[in-house]
Formats: sequence, structure tokens, C-alpha cells
Amino acid sequence: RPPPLPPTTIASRRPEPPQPPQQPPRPRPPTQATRAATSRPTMPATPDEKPRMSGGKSSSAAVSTGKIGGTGAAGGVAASRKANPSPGLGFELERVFVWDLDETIILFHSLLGGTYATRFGKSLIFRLADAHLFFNDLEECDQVHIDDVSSDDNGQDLAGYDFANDGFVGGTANMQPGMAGGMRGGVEWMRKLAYRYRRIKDVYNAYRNNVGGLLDPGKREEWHQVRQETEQFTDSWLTLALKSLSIIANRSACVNVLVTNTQLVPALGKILVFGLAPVFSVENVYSATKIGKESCFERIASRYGRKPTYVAIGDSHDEEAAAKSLNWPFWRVQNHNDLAALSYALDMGYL
Amino acid sequence: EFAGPAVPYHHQQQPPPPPPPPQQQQQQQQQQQQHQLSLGSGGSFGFTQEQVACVCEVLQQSGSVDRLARFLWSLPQCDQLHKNESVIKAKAMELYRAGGKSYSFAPQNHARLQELWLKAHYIEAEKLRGRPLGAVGKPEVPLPRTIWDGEETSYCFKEKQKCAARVVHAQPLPVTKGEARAGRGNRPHTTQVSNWFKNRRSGTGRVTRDAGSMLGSGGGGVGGGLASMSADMKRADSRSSESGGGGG
Repeated sequence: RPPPLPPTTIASRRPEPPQPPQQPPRPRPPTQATRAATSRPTMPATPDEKPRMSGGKSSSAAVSTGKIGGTGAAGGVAASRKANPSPGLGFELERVFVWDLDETIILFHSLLGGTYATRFGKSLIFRLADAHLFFNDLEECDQVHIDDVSSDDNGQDLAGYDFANDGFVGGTANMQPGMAGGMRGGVEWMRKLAYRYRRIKDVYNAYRNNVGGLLDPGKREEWHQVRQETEQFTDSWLTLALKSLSIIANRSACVNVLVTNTQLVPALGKILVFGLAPVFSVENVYSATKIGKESCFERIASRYGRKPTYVAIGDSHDEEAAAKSLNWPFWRVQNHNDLAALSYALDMGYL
Repeated sequence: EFAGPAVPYHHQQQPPPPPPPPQQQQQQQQQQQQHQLSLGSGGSFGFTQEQVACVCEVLQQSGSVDRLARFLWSLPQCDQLHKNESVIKAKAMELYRAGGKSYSFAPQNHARLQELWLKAHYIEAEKLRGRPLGAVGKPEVPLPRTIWDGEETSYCFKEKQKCAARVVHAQPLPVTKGEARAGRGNRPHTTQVSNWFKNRRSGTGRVTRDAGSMLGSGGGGVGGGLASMSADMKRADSRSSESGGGGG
């Protein structure tokens, strides 16, 4: 049996999870927009960027995290009994730094092109997301924020929960009672959806400072190579961005928030793979794919209120326009100097 | 590379110490970087205009008056900044008006903050008037109490400056050096002091047309321009002006 999910402490060293087994093509749940009446094809097309894994395990153990006992949430079992929404603020927040991801913190297209880092980086991200973050299950059920379906969660202890066989796949929120598999309708399905997002949250928190623990040795080597090559080709862009991110993360009155045009689950995969998880809480990641950046910014503003000062950081007109609409100052990042200036301004206490 | 005092974020209780005198500006990087401000010596960093504006915006929105002042003073003086300076200074003025009332700066910072405040105000007035202000045209404005000890100023001179001048005036016809001594260490330029004596002697007590044009030519044309005026004031601050000013 796979080892239990470790608690969310940095110090714990855990045995590595087993090689993720091959996942046979599974029918994807229909999108919530489509009615359940039409059945989906059972052989989903596999896009190039989502290679299937090698290995010959049976589908019953397909999702290894499904068998892992415990939720790993800080606070132990008691905390997992209820849905754990984002923690409230116990202190006065002064600054909220709202970052864009692609081409601001992570450079993919502009400099990396067809390098090893690009090819294997993307592959690594999707494999990790697939194996540990239910990417396959959730691709059609994209959310803006990790807690968006938590209201459907009943807080059930997920230790020993069999994600692979809970009938989530093939279902939909719009199912009527009595349909396939005897599911009690859409509410049931939504609950399973919520379990998945809760599990993702737990995995993120457990491994955010120890991503290597999520990867087996072969993949770990690949991961190191991807990171190394990325830094080499981008002239240490990520390291430079991390300077600013770390200064902010170390201040109790400041917070890093991420708003990305990537879907939430692969975005979390990217964050983990590129070592950004220590500076972004999972509750501070927003995907703008469904609602756009401006709506995300508005959500953030209503979440943190009027007291803090907000600063948007990005490379494109997208972020700039969204920031402008909310009268947020905007720090443009288009070259190394922009990142260097940002960390200097933070260091000097100007921001 | 990023040398500079680490400022604890929370603990800005006291106003910052007065910044060092502005460095000689270097106008070298215009070819390389669009809108990149020049790097000053002594550890200051080259922000773009956009970045400067962003920082000002952040500090203004958060009401961080002292940080804003410290940031602005850390910037090198150069032509490119001056273009955006009115925006920055206007914001600073807004900030002082709107947010600074509950915080009083330490007296040692008053002089510089007053200068900043007046500059901003004069820029606004110039915009309204549509042309640069002369020394005469500069409006007498009451300064915010947060950066002012309340001493009355008339005709650009504080009362105690006038007293100092009167003492010198009581001596037999002061020569240039005496005028310089009276002017040294005080706000007004020695040209202004010289004019004050002239007016005193002529008994008019008013700035004459001659004095006005003298002042103007000293500043490089009527109404000299704010930059040269402030530059003059800065020079009067930092070194003695034995020549008696640029009136000639």
C-alpha cells in the first residue's frame, strides 16, 4: 500500500510514493454545461501535452493518492472533518502583491522555445498534475479557486477514500437520481468533486517544500534538469523573481497572490515544479480561464478588503488593464531590470 | 548590487533622517534604456519613470508619507525625472493635504519637506497660470503644520532671517561678504539677501523692478524657472557663496 500522506511540515522525510501506474483512457465526465443525456465517447482524445504514463498497474490503483490515508492537513484529522476554507486573517494586511505567472515569473515561450526544458518541463507538469492533482478528472470541471466547491464538501475523513473507484468519472453535476451507477444525483457528484479539490489542497500543502517527494527518482532527475536548463536559458529569471517573492512572503503584513490564465490544476502543477509553492499559499492562487483577470482581481479585492494596498505585477496588457480598472498600481515586468528594480524597491522598503 | 539600508517594514515610527545631498547627476544611459533614469553614485538604483510613478502611487495609496518623502529624495535630479516630477510632486502635495495632518515631521526635516511642498504648489500654480512663475510671482502660501513650525514668512523671508539680516545691516555698509554671511545657511539665495539690503537702504521695503530683473538674470531669464531656483537654494545650502550670488 502506498505510504500515508505526510503532515504539512517541512522537516518530515517520507518514503517516495510508488511509480504512478498507467491510467487507461477513461471516459471523461461531461462538462457541467452539457446535459447528461448524451453519452461521451469512452476513448477521450489524448492531446500531445498529456502523455500517458508507462507501467502496467491495474486501473483500480490508478490514482495513487486515492489510497493514501489521512489528509495531511495541518491540525490533523479534526481539521479534515469539515471543509477547510481559506484561513481568515488574524493580522492587519498592508500589501497584496498580485502576480501573473506565465512570462512574468516563469518564462516558457519567450526564451525557452524548443528546448529540453520546454518539452520535458511541460510533460513533467502534466504528469505530476495527472498523478497527484486529478488533472484528468478535473479538466472539464475547472475552478477559479481551490475552495470554490468546498461548500459541497461534507468534511468526511478522506483517509482510505478510493478516488479511483468512487464513480466520479462518468458522472456529472446534472445527473438525475437513478442514473448510471446508482448515484444519488448531482449533489453526490459535487461532493466528490469537492473531495478532489480538498485532496489537491492537502497534497499541495504536504509537498510544497519538498516537491521531490512527489516524484520518483527518475522523474526527480528530469525535474532537476528542467530547472537547471530553465535557469540557464533565461539567465536566472526565476531566481530573480523569487528574490522579490521571498521578500514579500517573509513579511507578515504582505502576501503574494497569483492570477494566471492557466487552468487551476495545471497551474498548481507549474507552481510545484518550479519551486514557487513556498511563496504562494494554495488559497492564494486564482485561475482566470473562466472569468478573466479583472473578475479575479475583484474577487481578491473583496476578499482582502479596502485596507491593504494592492500592487499588480505582470507583463501584458491583460494585467495592466485589469489593474487600472481597480486603480491598482501596476509594475510591468518585461526584462531582468524590471525584476531587479522590484526586488530593490522591496528591499529598500519603498514598496 | 542592491546595497542600501534594510528598512523594517513595520517600524517606520520616526521620520527618516535627512537624505544626503544630491549627487552629481549622470546623463549617460539614455541611449541604452528608454526612459531609464540615471544611476546615482552611492547606491541609488535606476528606476524607470513608470516604476517611480508606481512606487509613488503605492505609497500614496497606503498613506506612507515618510516613505514617499524618503523615496523621492533618493531619486537623482535629472531632466527626464523633471518631466514626471510635477506628477510626483503634485501627488506628494495631495498626500500632505489629505493624509499628513495627523503626523508631524521632526523639525530637522521641515526645511526639505517645505521645499518639496512649495515646489509642488508652485508647479500647480504655474500650470494654472500657464507660464513659469517669477520669484515675485510665487504665492505666499501657508504651509501645513505637519512640516512647519508656524513661523510667519513674508516676502520669502522668515522673521528670524530678517533679524539676522538686520544685524548685518546695522553695520556700516555691508560688503559682499557680509551679505553672503547673512545669506549663508538660510533659505533665501544671497541674491535675494542682496536685494533685501538694497531695498532696505533705498527705504522702499519693496522688491523693485531692478531687483526683480536682477533676480531673473541670476536665475537665467525672468522667472528663472523652478529648477534653477531650487538648484540655487540647494547650492546655498551646501556651500558658501562667496561671490555674492549670480546677480551679475
